[in-house]
Amino acid sequence: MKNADVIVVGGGVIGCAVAYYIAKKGIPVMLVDEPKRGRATSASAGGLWPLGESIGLGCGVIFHKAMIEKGLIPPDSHVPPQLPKTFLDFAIQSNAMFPSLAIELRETSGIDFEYEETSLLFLMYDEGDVAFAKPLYANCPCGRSRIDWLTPNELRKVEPAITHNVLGALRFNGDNQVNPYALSDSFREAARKLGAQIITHTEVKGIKVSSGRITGVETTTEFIGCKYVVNAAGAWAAQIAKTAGIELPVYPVRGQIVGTEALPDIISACISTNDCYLAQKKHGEIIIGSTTEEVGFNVGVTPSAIKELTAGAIRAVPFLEWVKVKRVWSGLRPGTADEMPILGSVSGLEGYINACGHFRTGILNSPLTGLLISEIINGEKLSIPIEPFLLSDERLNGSITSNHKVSVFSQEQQTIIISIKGMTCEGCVTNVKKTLNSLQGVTKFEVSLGDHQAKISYNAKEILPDTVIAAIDELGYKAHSPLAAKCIGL
Amino acid sequence: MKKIKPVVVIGAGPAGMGAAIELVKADVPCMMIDEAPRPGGQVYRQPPTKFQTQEKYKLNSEQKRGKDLYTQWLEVKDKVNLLSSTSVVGIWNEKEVIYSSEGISGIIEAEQIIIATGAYERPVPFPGWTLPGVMTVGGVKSFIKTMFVKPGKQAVIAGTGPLLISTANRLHEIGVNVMAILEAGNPPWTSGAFSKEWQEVDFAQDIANDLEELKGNNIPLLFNHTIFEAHGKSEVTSVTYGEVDAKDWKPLNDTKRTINADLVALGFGFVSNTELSMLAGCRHDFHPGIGWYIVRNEMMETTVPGIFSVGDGALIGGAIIAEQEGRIAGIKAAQNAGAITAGDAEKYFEKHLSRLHSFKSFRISINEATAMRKGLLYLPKVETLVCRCEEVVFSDVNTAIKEGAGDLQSVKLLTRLGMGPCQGRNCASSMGMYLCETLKKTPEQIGRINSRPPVKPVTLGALAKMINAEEELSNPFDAITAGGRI
Repeated sequence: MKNADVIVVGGGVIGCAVAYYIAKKGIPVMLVDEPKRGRATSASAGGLWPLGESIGLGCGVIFHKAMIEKGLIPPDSHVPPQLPKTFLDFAIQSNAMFPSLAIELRETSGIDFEYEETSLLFLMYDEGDVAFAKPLYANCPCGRSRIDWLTPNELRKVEPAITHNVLGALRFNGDNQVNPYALSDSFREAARKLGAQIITHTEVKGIKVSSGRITGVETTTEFIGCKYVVNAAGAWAAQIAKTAGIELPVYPVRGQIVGTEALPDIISACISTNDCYLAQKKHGEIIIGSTTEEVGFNVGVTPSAIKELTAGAIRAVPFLEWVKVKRVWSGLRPGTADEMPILGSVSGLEGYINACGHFRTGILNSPLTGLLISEIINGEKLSIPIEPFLLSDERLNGSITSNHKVSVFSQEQQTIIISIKGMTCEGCVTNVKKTLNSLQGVTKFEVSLGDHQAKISYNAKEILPDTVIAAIDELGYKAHSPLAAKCIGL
Repeated sequence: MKKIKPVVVIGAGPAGMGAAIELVKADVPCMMIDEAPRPGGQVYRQPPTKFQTQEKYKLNSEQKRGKDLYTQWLEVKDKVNLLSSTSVVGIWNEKEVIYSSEGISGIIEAEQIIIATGAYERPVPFPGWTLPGVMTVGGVKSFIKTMFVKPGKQAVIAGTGPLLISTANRLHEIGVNVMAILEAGNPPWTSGAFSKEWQEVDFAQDIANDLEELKGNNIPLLFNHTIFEAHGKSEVTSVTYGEVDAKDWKPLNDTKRTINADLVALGFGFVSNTELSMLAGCRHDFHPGIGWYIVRNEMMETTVPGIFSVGDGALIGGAIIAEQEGRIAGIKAAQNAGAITAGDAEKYFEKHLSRLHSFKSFRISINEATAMRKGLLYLPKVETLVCRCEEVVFSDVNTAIKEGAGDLQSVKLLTRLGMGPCQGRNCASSMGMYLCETLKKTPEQIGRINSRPPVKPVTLGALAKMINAEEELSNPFDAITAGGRI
């Protein structure tokens, strides 16, 4: 029978980083991975934007704007609220690990993960953007040295390909980029060289528990015994946790991305605007992202999203109009309601450790996550306090939600999956259907008794998901959606 | 106004034309999208109008055979919304067809989709295969047929299958010195004697004629031979070739010789274009003699209801088979749309189904005869490009395998193989087979390179200007007019 001290479930960047840091401490570790469609590491753009992400750039600002347009927040609210300081501290500390990590992993694995010091530019198209940028510039949580205000002329000098129709740009020094799948490959290869066992194309079907502690995992082919299981299953983390009786508030959040053909160097910094972000990778392609959608495990792409992303990219870098799109794809971020990762042990189940819920910042936060988990397992002093990231009751119940109301899509036609507790028979299904039918703005729905859920398509201009949920609740059932949880806070 | 959703036929070759004719006959709104400026596909491709009168005698027998179909097409074509010079870049959200043409793009919401996208010639990597002057027999034929260009002076033809013979004769006709045909196999048709099933195929006679003509032209036809390497700095100047093992076509290096040539025409059989059916979510299975194929029922419907796949794009069989399949799909789609009754459909199907049935064993044998043999995997050297788009060389693939890559997807992530604009058309079939052989795994374990939109090149500008039929216009036909397409 196979066994290891530690089994890491999931071979994305988090799982590979965890395996690497554990193997580095000489602890027997085994990584088990089933590559699933939508795995976020290989779909990612590879931005390391601790400041940008913390203050709501990248996808945050795109959705903030969309929400103003939808009238869901007042138009004078220019600033997408920031994530907590604890998150920023974590991200900054993890980001600081990259320069030496690049050397370390190249030596151990032979793979270069293409670390590039690019900086991140926020383009100010209008007065609203300027109003957003001003307080950031004035009160940058990391001090003035990490942030520059560029005038249009200064911007033109450093980035001639960027549109001249700007009022200026904020530059975040220290927000950089890597090749995301090379990073994950180099962690994995380095882990393997240090003695980790890597089992690919094998799915973990369940975690085995006996009298309150982990005994091993059941894969598609066999049982593997272990003392610790690290759940690094990304968007699938909740499914894995459930097999050990743990409710984990992690759910897939789709991001659609457009990649161009390889180009000569035309932009040197990563760019974030109201419409999209852009990053030119070492190989020459420009990655343009990204949507933030809750559509379950659907890994499709939608024409309207692609249209908006390409238009946004052309607005920022007009030359791109003539450039060919090589691919569009989507990935499933492991989303959490408060946008913070879920790390560390849980009470009542010995040997189980979370390393999941990294949402948009898995690449950035992978080194520190890996290090932290290895320290927990080795019983060492932790490099950063873990308390804010533990799975607490509050986080589980979703009472802490971020001020980012990211789930308001820029498209009118939306689909949402609502879980409905209390449906016991076909009669209940008929009741729910009847109610859905009566709601103005609901265009299509499927109600499943077996899955205890309803998939509902609706017009976002006419109805909010909260209204749908309230209507189902009124029938006496308990309806819930992570998306709606955020909207209620508005 | 109730929105009219058309049946969208993708591809205007024999299969697509057959489908469109049946749809128009049944009065079903039909929209057809084709990449070429004129319909006809690769086989019945129509020459540019100004060449037609004086060059008609040069139309080959295939085009003569296609005349009936073309005549019927002319009768219905005014009722078909044909978007020519237009690429389909993806099928999204089940039945939304995204097209692009000349700087714009748009969405058509289809009621049903008939995919008739044909096949491409199987690329086989060997040293020098990317040199200018090395091209496929299809490329050579379109130089001759549609452009009236002489593609070289001294040619070597390599590959397998009857197309090599007709290509040699066409080249000879226009004054190219054909040094030799290198036929990797030793298939039944080459002797001029045909088994019973082949006799039933009316173009068996064409092959016999071509062989006769070849003798008259004094072009040597070497069996169990193939090209080992193409040499040259900026273009091909000479070719090394030799014998191959009769069973698996492994090159026998002690037999190699070198001759001068400025044109290499390659024809190693065909691979179906399955990118769109993959995007649409249709199921594909693997068959050892055929490779990956689309699962269909007898009425050509895929595992996604309302999406059909016909012709060489589904399974190689040639133009006549393609037309029958197209017609069957057209009739079935008309029946699905409620335009004809099941009883009538039954009646219409019969002729085409029985014709298809008579081709069944021919189809199996043509697929077997032209299937890629693993011995050809010994041709590339360590520095030979295997992925042209991303410039991945053979040794990169071997390094990836050493680093633990166990399938095509992992090789792709480690080397960028298949990440380029061709979506793996140039590398996936040969490297997939190589991985199976090297890792001793099944094709299902090795997997495929996932199809991702856009399957054809499209600019950001075109996508940013996407005409959304749903939001902006109530009738998809208006969308096309608004885009300046008709």
